[in-house]
Amino acid sequence: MNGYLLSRTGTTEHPYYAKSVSVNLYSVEELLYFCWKDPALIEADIMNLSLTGWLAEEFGLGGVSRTMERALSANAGTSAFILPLFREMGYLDGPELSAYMRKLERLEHGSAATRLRMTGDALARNRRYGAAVSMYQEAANSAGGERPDMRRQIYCNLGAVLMQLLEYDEAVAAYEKAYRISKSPRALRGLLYALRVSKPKDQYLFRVSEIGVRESILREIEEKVVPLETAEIPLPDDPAAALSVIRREYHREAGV
Amino acid sequence: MVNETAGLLVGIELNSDVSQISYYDRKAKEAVSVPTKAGTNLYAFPTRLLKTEDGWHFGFEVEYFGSKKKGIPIRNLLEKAETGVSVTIRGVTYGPDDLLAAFLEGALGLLGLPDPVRSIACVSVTSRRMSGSLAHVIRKALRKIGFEDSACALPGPGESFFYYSYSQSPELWARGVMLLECGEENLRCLRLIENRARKPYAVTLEKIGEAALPQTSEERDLAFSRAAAEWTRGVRCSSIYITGNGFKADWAHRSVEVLRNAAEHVFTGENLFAKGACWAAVAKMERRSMSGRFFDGPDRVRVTLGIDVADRGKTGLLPLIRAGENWYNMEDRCEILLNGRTGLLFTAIPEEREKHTNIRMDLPGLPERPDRATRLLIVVRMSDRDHARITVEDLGFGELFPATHKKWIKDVVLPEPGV
Repeated sequence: MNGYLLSRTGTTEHPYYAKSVSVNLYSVEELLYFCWKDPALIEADIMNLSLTGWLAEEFGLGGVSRTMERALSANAGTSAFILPLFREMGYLDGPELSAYMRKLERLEHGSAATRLRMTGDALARNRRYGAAVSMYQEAANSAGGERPDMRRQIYCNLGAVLMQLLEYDEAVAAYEKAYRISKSPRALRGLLYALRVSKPKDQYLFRVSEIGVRESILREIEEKVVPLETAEIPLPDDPAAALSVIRREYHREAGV
Repeated sequence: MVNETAGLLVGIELNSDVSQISYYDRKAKEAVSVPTKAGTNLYAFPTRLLKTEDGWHFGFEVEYFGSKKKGIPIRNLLEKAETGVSVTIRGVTYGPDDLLAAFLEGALGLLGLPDPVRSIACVSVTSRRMSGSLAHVIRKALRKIGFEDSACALPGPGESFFYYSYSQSPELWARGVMLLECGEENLRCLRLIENRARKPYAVTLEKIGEAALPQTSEERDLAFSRAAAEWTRGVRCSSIYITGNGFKADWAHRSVEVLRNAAEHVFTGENLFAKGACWAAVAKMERRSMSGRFFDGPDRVRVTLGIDVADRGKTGLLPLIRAGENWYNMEDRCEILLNGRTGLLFTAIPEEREKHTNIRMDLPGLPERPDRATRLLIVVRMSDRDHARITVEDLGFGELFPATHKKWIKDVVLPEPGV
């Protein structure tokens, strides 16, 4: 459906607040986009009566909101709740809607670990790293019976968000677990990068020799790290204000 | 006093000196002029306003309160609207749209409705001075009162005359209609001309001639009758309408004789434009054809300009400029989301022409965002019948992708129809 989508409902001055990612949604299209990109957050953020009330009051979508309310009271699941809105607004074309339905099905019928991991992914995409860490840790705890590549993926993702939070030691530990589960290139690169930026060089090289890493991968890691070490970052005009912005941003992302 | 209280169709004629209001009586199936005082046949009221501590006063009230020195009358409302002149009263400045809104509200009050905005389905305003700038201010004033654009029509004077003429029984138009505009110093003759080459018939209002009128009665009658005889030579039309305050039956003996020979019916009167505006509202809201004819006036746009959009799953052309409407009536806007595109592509479809023209509009500097995460406001206004201005604003996507509010403007020359 390339081209232009007409917005008949426009925006409202009274937004709906998606709590888990701290975002105000001002239009039906923003809500649909949010649900389309991050279906794992629908259950926590979207499936409630205040959302259906908002749709009815702000956009005159009383008909579809009543259908959604019926799905809610019948405990019919995420698909039964959200798909009527997608259909009513014609937001996705046929193939897109089918793909989205498959995604929702995975979410609804997948294991607890799958759901938790998908929720962690959605939180990470929205830069809610602190909350994502909790989700991945819960996913890891309940992933005992899962396939190795699923468990490895959970630890890799956990390592990645811990890196974003500058929790290097914990990130190294997460990547080590991922690498132990399956020696995948992603887990290896994550581990090496976390070690390289957080440990003294001799410790890094010691671990490299233990693992036995190819020269080309080491060069790749160096290429990523060197620009960070040599970059000249200009000082802000008002360092206190800049620090305050960084602190606020960090707290938002870390959820503290 | 109007009996109907819902779905009312109203016509207003605004002129520099006096104005009139009419409404459509569904039972009688006719446009009815509203008197300024119940039980009289006094229909015209001065186009004036006055502000006192009690509020706005309009029309004849202005003279009453003005004489009691309760305020200074505001005249030339239309001229103020055309030139954008504001008025400051006791430290408060009122724009031309505020003034016109106050005046129109007063005029609508003559209908005796408790809530005119709720009761009126369409208010149609015409003026002999209609222009792009005046239409813009009238539209703003109507919005201020509470009317949506879809509940308003702004027919030009020729169009109002067309609607009035063809809303009458066929015996009053079947053999042609003429309009004589008689001012203090000159006389102008116009005629409705039907182009029967294809259906529906296009009707135009063509100027037949103009003549100077002397001031003495005898000479005036002579000049009028000579000019009328020349313009109607070999013609016997259904109706001749005489308007303007320059015509008086007491001097026009020869003239009336000439006109009686030239037409089956001769009418004088000043309410045909207000009633014509009312019939324009009827045609608009009830999608009524005027006996298979449409008015092809000089302001009528001949090109549809739109953009292909997906609307709730269905893709089709969203018209932003519609062929068939007067250019000064056209101001449309829409909000769209970009999906797999970085620029805009409009389609122009001229009347009587099969080929469409694509009009591309680039948006340099628009931030890169994911698909469906850029909301654009598109506003299309026309500067005359053949030129449109498209303004696009980046509204972003809420807190997910903040707006830059950057604007892009493209002036478009609309393609010629039927080439």
